[in-house]
Amino acid sequence: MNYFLRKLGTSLLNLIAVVVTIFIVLRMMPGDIIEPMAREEASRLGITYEEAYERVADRYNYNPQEPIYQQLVRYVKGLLRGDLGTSMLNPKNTVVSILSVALPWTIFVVSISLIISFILGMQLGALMAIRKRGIINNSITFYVTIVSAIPSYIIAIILSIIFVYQLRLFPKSGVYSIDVTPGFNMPFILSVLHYSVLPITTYVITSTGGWILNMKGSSVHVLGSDYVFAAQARGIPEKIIMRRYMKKNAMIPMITILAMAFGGMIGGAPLIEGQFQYLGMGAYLAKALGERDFILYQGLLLCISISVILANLVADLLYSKLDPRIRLE
Amino acid sequence: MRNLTVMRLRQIFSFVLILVLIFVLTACYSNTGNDPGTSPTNDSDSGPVVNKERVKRIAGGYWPAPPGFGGNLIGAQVGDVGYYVYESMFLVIVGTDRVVPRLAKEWKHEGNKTTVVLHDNRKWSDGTDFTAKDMWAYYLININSSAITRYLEAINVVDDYTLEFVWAEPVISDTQKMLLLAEGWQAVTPYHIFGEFVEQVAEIMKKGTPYTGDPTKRPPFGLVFEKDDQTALKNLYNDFKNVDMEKPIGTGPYMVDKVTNVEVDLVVNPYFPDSDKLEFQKIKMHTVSDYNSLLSSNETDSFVGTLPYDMARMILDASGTMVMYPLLEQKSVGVIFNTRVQPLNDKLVRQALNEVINKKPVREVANYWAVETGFATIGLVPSTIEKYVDKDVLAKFARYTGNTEKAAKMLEDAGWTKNSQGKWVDRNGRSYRFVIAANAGWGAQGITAASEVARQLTEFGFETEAKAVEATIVVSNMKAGAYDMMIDFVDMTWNISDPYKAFSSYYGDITEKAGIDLSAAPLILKDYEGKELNMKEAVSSLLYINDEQEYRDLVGRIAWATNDNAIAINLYQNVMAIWENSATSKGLPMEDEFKKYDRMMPLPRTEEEYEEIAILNRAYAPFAEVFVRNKVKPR
Repeated sequence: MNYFLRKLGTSLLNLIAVVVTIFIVLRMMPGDIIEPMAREEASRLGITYEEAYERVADRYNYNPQEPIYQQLVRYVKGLLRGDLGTSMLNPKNTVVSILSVALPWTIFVVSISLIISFILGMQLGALMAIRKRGIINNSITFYVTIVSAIPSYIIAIILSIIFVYQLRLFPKSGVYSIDVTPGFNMPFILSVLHYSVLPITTYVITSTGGWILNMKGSSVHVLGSDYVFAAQARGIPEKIIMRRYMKKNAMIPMITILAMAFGGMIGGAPLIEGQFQYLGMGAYLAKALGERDFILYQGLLLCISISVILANLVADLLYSKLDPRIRLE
Repeated sequence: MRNLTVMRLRQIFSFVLILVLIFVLTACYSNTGNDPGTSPTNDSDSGPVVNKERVKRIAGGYWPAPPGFGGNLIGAQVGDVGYYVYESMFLVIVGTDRVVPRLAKEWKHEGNKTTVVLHDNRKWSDGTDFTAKDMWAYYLININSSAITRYLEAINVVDDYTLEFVWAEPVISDTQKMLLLAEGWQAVTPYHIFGEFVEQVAEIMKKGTPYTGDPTKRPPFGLVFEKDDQTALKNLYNDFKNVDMEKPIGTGPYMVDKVTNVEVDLVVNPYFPDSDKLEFQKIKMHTVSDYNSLLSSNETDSFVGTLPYDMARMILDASGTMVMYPLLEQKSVGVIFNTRVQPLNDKLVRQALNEVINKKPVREVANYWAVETGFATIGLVPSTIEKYVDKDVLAKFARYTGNTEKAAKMLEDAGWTKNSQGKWVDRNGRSYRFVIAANAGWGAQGITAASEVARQLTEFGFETEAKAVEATIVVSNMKAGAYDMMIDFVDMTWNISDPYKAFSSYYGDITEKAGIDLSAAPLILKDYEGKELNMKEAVSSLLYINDEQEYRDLVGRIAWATNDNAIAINLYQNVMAIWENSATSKGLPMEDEFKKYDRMMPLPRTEEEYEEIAILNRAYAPFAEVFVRNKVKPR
């Protein structure tokens, strides 16, 4: 219990540090977003640049003249009420409303991808550890080398060209068809699945390599342990050694990495989401940063930070449960 | 060990097989017809197809993703969807400056008054009658952000369909009145929705006192307010822009049906006059991250975007039916000098650098179809110079031809020499190194153009480095004097090519980037007769000149002096590309010449051709002008 409280305290301190750091760093960023937006507005509405600048500045939900400590106090007070703020550019977009839209899509896509790539990675990694030479090992090594070298957005583009524009099997972009009604109905569910296939496939292709290598390393380490040699000496069948001795122990660090990955996944993958215009956290993060929408950006970052801190906490607790040799104290 | 491997492999293959099965099954979903992501009209790779549903698919554009999407344009909830939903009293075709009446039926200027009679058969898309009060609402609610209010004494609602604009003294010219009346999107604030805000603004306006100060700083409607009233106006505007509407309500030909983050479906507004006769009954706006693939695969009917020559050719060949129209933009791309630093504070050096640059290679790498100009910068959109400047005056303009020998002679005459490394040094033996900044978001137009200019300057003897700088920083840094030069728009207007608009932009935005503070001291330049011109005052006086010859004379003098002062280099007048799909639409411009030009069409050769192409671009002819004209039809 003491351990848990201490960890919780540390997590809270981390969170406070994150809130203050994000808040200050974002406000120290140089740049004038009103200028490019005014150019776009002048062009679109057929008005003068000066008029457009005034309009955008009026619309901008942020007063740079307000002292930073006052902004911080106001922000923290809002946080305590559960109010993460409102987008600087669009008064309809509160941070909470954006989170309620983006978070489910990111969790949906990334959690499925993570589970698939984790299962594949564990199996293939263990296989590589067992079969240190031969065509299987070489093939997997080749795959890992290739996918590690190619950036995720390139894989996304290749998949798009093949499956969207050549074979015309999947939609170009978005999260669901404009012709379905969002809700718990079959057309919507099928549409969501249809639109998520390519983002999920990209995630899986790009992240499986990491899991394979991690699992292979861990398995090789376990295979060299004294207790494995002892088991072999006792004549325990290979199948049991592999399943009970090697795989189970090799997966302990993997489980904690998985917990951490779940925490990190809340941030989505801006490049993959960008390519498929999948409306997840990553896409919103990239958009908020590009538009210097500090309030939206800090809200999204805060959410990601909380999930990472929580995931760390869970990983710490989980590790001790999985490995009885590690005591919480 | 072998058995174990086989077993494990079997498990992995089973798992992968299940994944592949899911992949195939979901892929099959697209063939059930439930998915609008695929084309409803065009399954063929080339050749005409029947567009039975009379749908126009338009690629690109911006609108806030739900939940940010809404119906309040001023609250930034609508984006580019507004082009098809709203209208104004007048529409100006950019590039020709032709004023097309839309909600206005007739108008007349008499003394300090302009009377506009509106059509009496128009309705908002929710069925409410559109009246003069709706227009009045727009101007009052945007009291502080609408340019026209600074030149007005009052706007009066004469009757349900008549508005009276009372102009302030001195009264601006009739041309300027029309351009101001046509500016912005006006029928965007229905009185029956925003009336409470408008009436409150009208009440506060009654408390204003007449302004008596500097006429160039005249406040909206010439009214000065107490601090409390100013705050009240600001708060009202804030409350107004925060009003949440589910969908935009306009008087235009289309209205929003459905919206996602990447698609908007617009259907015909049943209250629009003759709505059933509109050739296109549905518009589908859609965005993707890869427009090249979209165009190559004929998955859209319309797109605006300029690409490098090779890529454009490749897309046209792959598609077989797309047509590309290049169109001159009302913007030039150029290099602005920082006139605060040596030696760029010397006019002669700036003129010599203008002479150094061979614009052709810059144009070829940055925007293949663009048009080079022989000027430094003239303040006007280059393609309009013959329209606004007399031929004999134009003949007096200095031309810069990329003649490095002439440039070297100009420098040598001013006492410059080349050192042993081949670098130019001034009279005091000082050599210079330049940095050209380019907006990193501009792609080829920015850093590629900057690199070519830097290469030419370095080759000439001024070591120059090109630097890509993040979009939100580059302008403020240049204004603060952080770079020697910057690639940016010069000789441009944001919409109407009228000289007053173009010069105002130049003697404001461009001069500020060049480090000339017009508010600190007047900029006095000499014209071709050696007569001194206070540039800011000369530009402002254009507003009030009704006599055409007097107007042309002053425009010529300002443009000549601007060119002579050479604070920038006009590299080329920009060209945008408009893409249309001939497989799904007919009645497109230059249709009988598609074969001759292999669908990569030439720049418009006449004003009529220009307008036909310009209206395909919603930014050049908003309010769905191309669809209202009904010349372009579905196949």
